[in-house]
Amino acid sequence: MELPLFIFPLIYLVVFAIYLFFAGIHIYHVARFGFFDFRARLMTFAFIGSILLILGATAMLLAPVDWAGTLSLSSPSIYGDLPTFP
Amino acid sequence: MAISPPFLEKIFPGKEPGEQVLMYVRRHWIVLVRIIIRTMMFALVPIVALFIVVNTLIVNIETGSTAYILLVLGLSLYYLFVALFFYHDWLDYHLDLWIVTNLRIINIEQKRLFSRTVAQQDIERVQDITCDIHGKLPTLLDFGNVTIQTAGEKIQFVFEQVAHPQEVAKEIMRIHREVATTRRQEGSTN
Repeated sequence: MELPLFIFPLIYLVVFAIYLFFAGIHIYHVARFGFFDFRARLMTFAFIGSILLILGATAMLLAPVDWAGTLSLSSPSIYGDLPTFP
Repeated sequence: MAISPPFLEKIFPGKEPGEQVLMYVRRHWIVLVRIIIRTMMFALVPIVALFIVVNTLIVNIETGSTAYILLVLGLSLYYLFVALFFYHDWLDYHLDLWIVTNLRIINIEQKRLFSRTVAQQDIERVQDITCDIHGKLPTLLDFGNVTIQTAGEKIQFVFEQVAHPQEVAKEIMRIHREVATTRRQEGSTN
């Protein structure tokens, strides 16, 4: 049985959607309860900036991956093509 | 300690005419420092773990391999949640506020994400104020709790981990006396 590699970013996107929901609620809390002063704005922009930075780094690191590839579940190793017991 | 008017208006639903903010208190900055240190430690854990694993176990993770994809996506989610937890803790710090006006004491506390308490009590009902400073760090940095007991009811307001608790307690007592005197004078003239 073979598993397409693009299944991993799909799972990532599902978790990220849940993450975005919670992040949105947090930002809503700051804005809703009237504490959106300079410090709150600065911290919120830093938070959004850090999310974008992490997403950018993730995209950059995953750029060379061939998503058309598959993962064989019968493979003895998930560490590339290296044999487990050389 | 002045607050900008729009900010004040928002945190004051039902602000009465002639009401003046005399003091507002937040938690001590050391609370924020603790949050930052904890976040930095969480951020360093995967870096240290990866360094140890790569150098001691001599694991070869090829770019593009399944292990590489899982590692990158896992670390990405981990750091996203570290950022979210930091923001959450900061929010908890930022949304806790105690306000003393010439009419009342307002206790605004964010307990959890969906749990928020806004309590208030007439400044004249203040009966007893206690301040607690426990531990080496609180003594050194002069921060602690100020507990306000109000008359007639079992309501206790606790200003948690605030800077200079003794001065805060003295100031509240002074405001209370001033308001009580003013109201008595107004009562005798009417």
